[in-house]
Amino acid sequence: MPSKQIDPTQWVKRYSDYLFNYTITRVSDREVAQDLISETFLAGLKSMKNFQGKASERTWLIAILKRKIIDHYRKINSKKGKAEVRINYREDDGEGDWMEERVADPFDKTAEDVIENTELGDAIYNCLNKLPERQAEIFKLKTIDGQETETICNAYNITASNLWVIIHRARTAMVECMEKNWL
Amino acid sequence: MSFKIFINCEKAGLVCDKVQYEESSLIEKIGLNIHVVFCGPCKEHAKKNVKLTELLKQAKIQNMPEDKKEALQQLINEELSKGNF
Repeated sequence: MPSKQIDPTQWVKRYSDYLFNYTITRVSDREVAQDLISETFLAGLKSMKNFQGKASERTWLIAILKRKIIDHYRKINSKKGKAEVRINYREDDGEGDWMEERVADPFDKTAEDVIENTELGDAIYNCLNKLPERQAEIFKLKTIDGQETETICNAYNITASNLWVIIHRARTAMVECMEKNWL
Repeated sequence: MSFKIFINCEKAGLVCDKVQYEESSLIEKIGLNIHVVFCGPCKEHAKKNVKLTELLKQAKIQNMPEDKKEALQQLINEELSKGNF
């Protein structure tokens, strides 16, 4: 008997947001992200019997997804031409702003931000994962999807003050979880 | 509805959360601002709460759209019903 159980019927509910965010910060294309997650779930179903329960379901799915993302990059790279060298030397006017041109690569300026945001996104989802399921769902709807209080109350059949108590608990737990590295 | 300017910590916490979603009234905001002048723990909490909001914005995290989730769930259900697993 594996120490950790696997239940594919709950995958979408439990992990789709997490996997979606994980993918989108790495491939930055919603359609591609969607496809990669479908492939991940299908691959997961196929290799379910190999799941040994050593890691959590989520870790296991992420491991599959990582391979899918790498495969995706391999595929698009093999389609592309080989390395492209970009030197903007105008031959007729060699005295241009050659110094300035080499000072900063404008395409590189955002690289650090992207890395930081990827890590931040992962950290947020790791903390979300520690919240009780219902609390996390409601917090995500309210905070990430930006849904109206009333809409959520109706969907979950709770009062507005119930909702704010749940939000408060979620936010307090999130602050506690993120505090060490980010706040 | 009463217009209390002096609020307790519990109410301050609630208002502080509402502020993060821009759902607090002006009176509530004034009450919160007065409260945090006198209450160190609430001031600290409010600071962190605001920072959390900033981080969530900065990370630009997004949920998978509902219709995509449904499609995905259907795909899994179909595969499971084939019973090859």
